[in-house]
Amino acid sequence: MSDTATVFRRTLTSNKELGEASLATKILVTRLRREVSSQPSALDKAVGELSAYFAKHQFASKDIAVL
Amino acid sequence: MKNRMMTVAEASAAIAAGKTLLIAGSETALRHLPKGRWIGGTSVYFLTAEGGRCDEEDVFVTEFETATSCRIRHYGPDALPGLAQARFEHGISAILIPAFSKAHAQFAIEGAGYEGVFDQPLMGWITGTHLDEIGKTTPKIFDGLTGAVYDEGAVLLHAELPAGTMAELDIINLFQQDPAADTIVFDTDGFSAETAQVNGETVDFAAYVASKGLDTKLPLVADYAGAMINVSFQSVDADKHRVQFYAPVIAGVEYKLAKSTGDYATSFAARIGSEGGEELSCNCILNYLYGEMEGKKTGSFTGPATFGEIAYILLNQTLVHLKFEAAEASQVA
Repeated sequence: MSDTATVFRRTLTSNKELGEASLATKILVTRLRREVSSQPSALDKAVGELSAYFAKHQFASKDIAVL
Repeated sequence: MKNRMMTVAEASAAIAAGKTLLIAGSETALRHLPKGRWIGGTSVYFLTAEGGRCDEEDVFVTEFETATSCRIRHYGPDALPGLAQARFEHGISAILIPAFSKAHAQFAIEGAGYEGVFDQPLMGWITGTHLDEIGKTTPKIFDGLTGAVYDEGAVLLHAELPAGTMAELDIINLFQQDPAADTIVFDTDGFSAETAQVNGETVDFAAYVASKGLDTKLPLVADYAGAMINVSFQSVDADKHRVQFYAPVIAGVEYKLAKSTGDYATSFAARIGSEGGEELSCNCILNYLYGEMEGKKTGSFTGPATFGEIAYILLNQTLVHLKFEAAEASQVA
């Protein structure tokens, strides 16, 4: 598992606030956390969605730093 | 971006000049505009540089002068999940949805799950009517390119931006959770609730609100990883054991009633200072009403006071703002 995937898994299974992250990242992470909380087996799918988001998003590098 | 109130004649001239525009105004005013590169939505309440006002004659116009191209699309409720598909590789989307429509409810509940919805800024609002006209006439959205007028679905303006321009979408929410307030969790998503878990105990939520004497001008606030997201009360019917909201509550999310901000208009003006003159923004009709903002100057964020704000998802009692800046500046910020 890559370091980034490990960070994403930790982010999605915690309640950490994302401080200076963009609004989009905060809302998406909150939605994914909720899905993972209600269905833990959805974690890999959620990590995949978060990975795809950061691959495309304009503020990705800045936001990854606060995860 | 350029933002200002215009007469219908001034807005018509801007459209005729080929400008890419987002327009808010009364249905009568919008119906007088010619076809062109614009979308519009009904709203008659505005925050202007001169103060809050109700205006059924003039229109509030935002010009995307940096846009290099645009695509205008109308999506019916069934097509809403694909609203991101017509986007440009680099750009933003403005979205307008009529209040009380199927699309309003569907976007509010399901929008956060639409494919690609977070990949570019999605900013807009829920269109409304004069408050005296609620239930008598429907809020509208306009596709300026075709001249079509709808009271259902969503109209989007996808704008392409130059490679060196970045867009940043954010919110200003004066409301914070009251740490002393009860923790409220709902079992199902929706614009209404009959029961809720309050501090872990299931209660008749309407009876709870009434018995506690909650100030329903204050929203319920959820903490989305540091972003405060409001849900506003619409009505509390103890006889029918039902509480209605202006945005859906989401199952499993922890809400708390907001702390009072004191005088909203004064707090708002102090918070935003001189920011916002070149930004696209909208604020909530509830802030306009509860904050008694008519006639009051509230800083340089100007735009319509709407029946719901959209910053990726539906929001309540929140100012939404979008700015463009040079890519280098964005990376430094």
